[in-house]
Amino acid sequence: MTRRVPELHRAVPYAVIWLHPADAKARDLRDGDAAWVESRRGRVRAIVRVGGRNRVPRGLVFVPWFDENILINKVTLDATCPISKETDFKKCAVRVARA
Amino acid sequence: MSCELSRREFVIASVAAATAAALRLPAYGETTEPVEGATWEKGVCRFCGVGCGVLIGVRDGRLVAVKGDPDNPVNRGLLCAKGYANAEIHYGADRLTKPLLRMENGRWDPNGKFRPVAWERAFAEMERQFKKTYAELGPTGIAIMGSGQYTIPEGYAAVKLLKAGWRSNNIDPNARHCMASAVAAFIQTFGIDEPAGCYDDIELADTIVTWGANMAEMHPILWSRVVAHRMAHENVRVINLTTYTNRTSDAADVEIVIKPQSDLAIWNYIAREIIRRDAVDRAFVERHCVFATGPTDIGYGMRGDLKRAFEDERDTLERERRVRLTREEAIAQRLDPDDPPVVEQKHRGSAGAHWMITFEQLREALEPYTLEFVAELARGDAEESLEDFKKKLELLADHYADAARKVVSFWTMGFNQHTRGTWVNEQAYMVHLLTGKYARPGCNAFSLTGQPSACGTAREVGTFAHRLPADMVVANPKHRQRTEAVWRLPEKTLNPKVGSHITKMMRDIEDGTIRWLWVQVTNPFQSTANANHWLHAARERDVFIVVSDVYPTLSCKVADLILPSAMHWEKWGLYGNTERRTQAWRQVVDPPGEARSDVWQILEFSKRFRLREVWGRQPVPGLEAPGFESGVLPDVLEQARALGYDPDATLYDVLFATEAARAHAWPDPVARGRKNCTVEAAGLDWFPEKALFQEYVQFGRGHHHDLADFDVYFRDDVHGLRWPVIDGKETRWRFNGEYDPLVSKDTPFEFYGPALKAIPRGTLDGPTSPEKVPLPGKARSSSGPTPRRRSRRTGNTTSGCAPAGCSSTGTAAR
Repeated sequence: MTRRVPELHRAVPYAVIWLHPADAKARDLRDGDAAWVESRRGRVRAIVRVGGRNRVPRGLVFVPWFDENILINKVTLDATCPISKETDFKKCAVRVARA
Repeated sequence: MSCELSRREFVIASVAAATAAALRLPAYGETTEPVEGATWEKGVCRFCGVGCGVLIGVRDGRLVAVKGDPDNPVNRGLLCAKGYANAEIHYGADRLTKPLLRMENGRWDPNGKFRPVAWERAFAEMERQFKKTYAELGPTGIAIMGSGQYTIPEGYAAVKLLKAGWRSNNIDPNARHCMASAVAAFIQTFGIDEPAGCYDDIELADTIVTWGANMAEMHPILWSRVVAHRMAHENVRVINLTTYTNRTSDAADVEIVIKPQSDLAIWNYIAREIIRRDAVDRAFVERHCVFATGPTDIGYGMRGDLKRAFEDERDTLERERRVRLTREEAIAQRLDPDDPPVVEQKHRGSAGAHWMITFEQLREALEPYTLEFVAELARGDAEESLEDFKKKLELLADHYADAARKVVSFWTMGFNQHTRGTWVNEQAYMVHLLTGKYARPGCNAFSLTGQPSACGTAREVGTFAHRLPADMVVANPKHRQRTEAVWRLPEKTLNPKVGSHITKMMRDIEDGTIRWLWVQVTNPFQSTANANHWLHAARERDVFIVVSDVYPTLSCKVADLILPSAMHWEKWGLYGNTERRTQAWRQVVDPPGEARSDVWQILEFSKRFRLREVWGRQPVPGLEAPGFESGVLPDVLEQARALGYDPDATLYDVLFATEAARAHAWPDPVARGRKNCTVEAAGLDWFPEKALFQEYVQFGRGHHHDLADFDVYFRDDVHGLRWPVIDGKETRWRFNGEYDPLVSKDTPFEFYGPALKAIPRGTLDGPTSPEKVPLPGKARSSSGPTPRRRSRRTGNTTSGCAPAGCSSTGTAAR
């Protein structure tokens, strides 16, 4: 919703895939390249970011969810805490490959 | 130390840069100078759960300026980048201004194109679809999805219509995705929801630890308070536990990068250290706490069958029923690490069961969580040496164990969105309670919420499938009885069977067991995990979806009917923030076009139902409750007659336009001449938002959730009040006799929450007797479950997140 405010939209215009430099290199990806993030449930295509405001350790991929054009929830797992029924959006196995 | 200096310089630079950026933002008006001809109103921001005070300037019927309220203690005049957009967010080019129905040849058609229709036509189709489903499936076939963006009157009206009117419990908020784990642990540990302390703890703390909370970006105004406190006090330290380096790391003294899900093991390591170092606050623990644990073979909240599974996800779903433990899990559960067993997930249906253990058993349960074991398990960055990582864990334990340091732990979604989210919250309380660092100024364990009224509405009003207002639950006959009395309902009108939580609602739509859905103030088809299933179900199953919203979201796109809603400053409202602070605002501008308030939509739609259509005998598959026929809600129309209701009366008459409600006349002096779009659209001479609020407060008063009267929150000198509000005064530290008037006179602390206050005794292996022991006034320190069978998270995952085989141990200090 906040993407309707031009100043906010310009600040973070789209979701990206944060990768560790070594993981990017191993997949022949550079900052700004397009890649697929794919799980057993679905996949999205987005731009790779190496470093910047988030620096991920090797082996970890981070994608935010605000961008409806890069609907990362197609990828995530609907497991929940069995007591609270709160969804564990935060973790799932993915494969990253050049788009 | 030069390294630290440069970090502090960097912090100064980033704060300055952020401020400059913020000052450049308001293209929209002015933030610091008065705007000529504008009038100003006080209110609260809508973008997150912090609840910053906002002053909004209006001129010629348009929002023209925004500034932070300097008198509001939450933000003291500051706002973040989003806060400054409070006006501009109303004026996006694609605001929804007319109801839109999918049509073909002048009729509703699920494959048709969206066409503008009159409200009357929209409600007529919505009613027709509702009644068709209700006749076929009864109360379980329909549902409302809400959120923590409901104002208090909106959420209350939605709950009342659904639970009292339609006799369904299928209402659940987006907040389920956000802080349900925090709620479950508050209830398990303290018997009452929401934090003991408040934001004042920031400036009183010696150590602030963030767990899975990127406060710098997600709660920036609170973070500015953390940073200011750190910079002004040489002795204060900030520690960031995170799975990757983020902007919160930039201003932290120590960053600890952990493997996802290893937080469970880290808490157990800290607890083990506290006991090993004899740092337990024995006087506090012995007087106020008990220890508890629960089962570990509880599954992962996934579907228990494969009937709708994609081929590729079958192996994931199979883990819901049985899992082979990892080597680490076997160690943590004191089993043979060389032969980890396959564990049937037998307690999927009783995951929240707790039983009491002794302090010695807690110690035994924690024994596997040595520094070596946990460091190997939890190190998140393979490029960091194990020795360096161990030093950080030891330092973390030093801060929690040091009796001289006041510690605040903050967390958000990194913690709550977790297949063991309830446990990890309970573990945080375990550590804080073991050291007596809870409910004391400067000591807090605090779940930060994401939505402006996740606390005030979703939690306190109870817009959940299992809840009623003021922490009551539908499964408890006394709670239903009390609610029926306040709402003047016949006995057994309320449905005792818990409804579907929000993820289950999606699964129910996919299964065809929910066929009518009203989405209010949320965007669930974007925000629910595993979205491919639900997007397909929305369009391919026999389900009628109504979405009320301000902009065309992804959920609107998969809907059958879109209803245009009034936005924040276009309606009256109240929100409750993360520190129990209830704040209010007046309507200052009109909604655009035919957009209407959510309160108006709920009230108006309720006029279409007569008592005899909903209060007759209703099927509820699976309902089993004392006093109820199996699978059936009784006909209550005769009793309704005895209460003076005509079976032809509408739900509007019975639930909303009651005599008491109509006594709140409009116009009202509290409005000071401001308008009310609900009143105008409905042609009323009474004030629905005030009537709803004044009815709602009856639930909490005398039940530990005391709120002030509606008008009080609008006073110029009131910038919100933190409940319980007793004799007009707010409460900063609950459960602490020095600050909380609800604590009994003879004790320094009293954890008086009434829920789940009796549990059986047991050992680390299970309960030993079914008899429940009452625990009045105690906190139950549970850290998630015990050694035997501890589970790891599901997911076959990773390219990123290695599944941590963590285990915690259960203890709950009460």
